Order: sequence, then structure tokens, then C-alpha cells
Amino acid sequence: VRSAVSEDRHPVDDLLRALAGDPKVDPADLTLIESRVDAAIQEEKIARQRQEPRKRAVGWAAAIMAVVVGMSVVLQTARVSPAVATLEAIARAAEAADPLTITDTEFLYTRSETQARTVVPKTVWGILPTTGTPSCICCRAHERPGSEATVRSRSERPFTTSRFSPTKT
Amino acid sequence: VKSAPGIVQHRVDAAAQSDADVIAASRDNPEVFRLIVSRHGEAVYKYAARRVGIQDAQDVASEVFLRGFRLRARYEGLRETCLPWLYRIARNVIGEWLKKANRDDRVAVVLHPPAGGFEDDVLDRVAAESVVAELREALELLADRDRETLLLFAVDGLTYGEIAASLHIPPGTVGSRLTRARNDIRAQVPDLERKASLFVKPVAERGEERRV
Repeated sequence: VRSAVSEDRHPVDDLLRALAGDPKVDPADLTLIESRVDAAIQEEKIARQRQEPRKRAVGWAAAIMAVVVGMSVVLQTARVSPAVATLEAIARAAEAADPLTITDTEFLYTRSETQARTVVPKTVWGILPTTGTPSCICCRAHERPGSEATVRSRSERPFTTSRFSPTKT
Repeated sequence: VKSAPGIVQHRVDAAAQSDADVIAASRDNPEVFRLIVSRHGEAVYKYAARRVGIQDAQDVASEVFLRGFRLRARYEGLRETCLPWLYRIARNVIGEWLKKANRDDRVAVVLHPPAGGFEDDVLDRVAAESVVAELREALELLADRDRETLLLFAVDGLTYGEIAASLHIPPGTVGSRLTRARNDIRAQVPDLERKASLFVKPVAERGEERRV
């Protein structure tokens, strides 16, 4: 309900309003309108309830699919790369092998797991052919049974002598 | 009727919400749409009664709300009131209804002399009927868009903004259409003011008259 006085009045509007009248609303008609809308509401609720199990099944399927995809991604990521596997194999081989005596002027060198470790004079550090090889392994200069071995790899650039330290790696 | 406290709370909250909020809430909870029916049932019923007659008003109004219920997910009308949107649906429903009933009414508005006041004077009654016929003819000559704008403003009591929302036109266009429609009717109905005075009470007598 709004005020008519505030709007701009016009004789045409007044005449129209008077002749169109203000129809009387039958409360029974309003009740009927409400009941028809109620029926539509109930119909929709029933339809929704019917769809609920299907929606839930689709939801579960989507969740399972997401878990499967997620797990496969994690597994792919967690898979050990060939380079790391090689390094681990070399480390194991080094550990299993007899300890080598390496002096302060030497270091242990191997190019891959298929090659034997070699004790190399420290003077050749940096000029060893490491470029382009899949891995170049430099173990601790003083390898003793039971001691930890640190492995470092380079695939592009050779080590430089300045980085070599018998006490480090 | 007993109900859970949550439901009561929900009803109280919904009553304070705008029509747009209620319609949005009814997408998840269809029962909330009842509030739209209780808010606008009477207005839509009257709109239908003025356009197609009281005998078919209930059928038309029911169809308007049923269609509104089905279309509520796409509601993009005014925030405060959805009445212009309901009237737009009503126009479509009435158009289809007239077509179905094989009625070629270009002017979908029921005009008749107001009840009371003419019973004793046959001459006045005849004069009143002739004014109705004149006005009806003048309305028929209007362009559909101008006529609907005029009826929404003068008969249904919508504001410019609401008419603009209902007809999907800029508010400025409402004013120009109203002016054109009034001028055209004035040109078609000579001595309009005097004829109007047959039916329309002076402003002083109207007092706090309000329209829906």
C-alpha cells in the first residue's frame, strides 16, 4: 500500500482509477492460491528427496575419484628418480665394499654404480671428466668402516679443486 | 501448531527480510516462498481481477505464483519488492490466458462505473456507461507499451522505479510514456475533467485515501 497523494496526480489517472475500482478480495480465493503454491512446494520437496540418494552417490563417486587421483599424484611424486636411485646404489656399494685407505692427498671417485671406486690423487680434482656423465660421486676422503658417506652429484659442471676438502665432501 | 524453536526463529528472520532475500532463501528452502504469497497475494489477485475480471482472478493469480515459484532461481528484480516481477509474470499469464480463451482484448482492463450513486438516476447511469465506453476506446488506441505504463501507474499504483523494473525500461522512459498516454487519452475523451468529476471525489473528500 502506498500513498497516491505524493505522486503527480492527473485527471486521466483519477478517472481510470475510479473506473477500474478496487476489487474485493475473497479470502477463500487467497486460501486457494496459497494451497496451490503449497502443493507445488511439497512436490518440489518430494522431488528433491528422490534426488538426494543419487546426489549422494555422485558425491561419493567424486570423492573416491579425487582420493584416487590424489594418491596417484603423491605416488608419482614420491617415486625415486633414476638419478637418486643410482646414487643410493652407489652409496650402498661403497658401504658394502672393503674400506679403502685414502690419504690427505687423495679422494675417492666413482662415475657410476657399475664402476669400481677409485682412489684418485687430489691433484686431478677438477680435471676429471665429469661433464655429461649422469653422475659423479665424490665420497668422503677418509672412508672408514661404519662411517657415514656423503654423496654429492654433479651432472653439468665438474667439481673445482677449491671446493674439495678431505674433511668435508 | 507446535514447531521447533529453530523454525520459529527462521520465520521471524524471514519476515524481516526483503523480497529478494526471501526468494534467495527459498531456493534452498522452498517453504520460505510462502512468505512471498502472503506478502503479495492480495495485490496480484487485484491486478488479475482488474485485468480479466474477478471470476478468473484466482486462477490467474495462482498461476502467477506457481510460475514465480518455478522461476525463483532466476530472480533478478528489485531488492525490496518483487511485485514488479510478479506483475511481469502476470502480464504473460494473462496474455496466454486471453489467447487460450480466444479473447481478442487489446485492453486488458476491466472498467465499470463505481457501484453506488447511480441507482436512482438512470440518466447519470447512462452517462457513466458512455464515459466508460469512451475511455475504453481511447485506451484501445494507445500503443500497448504506453497503455501498460499508464495502467501500472494509475490503476495498480506502482512507482516510476517499479514500473521501470516491471517493464525493463529506464525510469525516464516511464515519465515520457505516461505523458504521451495521458495526452492521447485527453485528445480522445473531450471534456475529460468534467466527466471524471462524475466519479472522482474532490481531494478534500478523499482525505487519507490510499491505493494499492
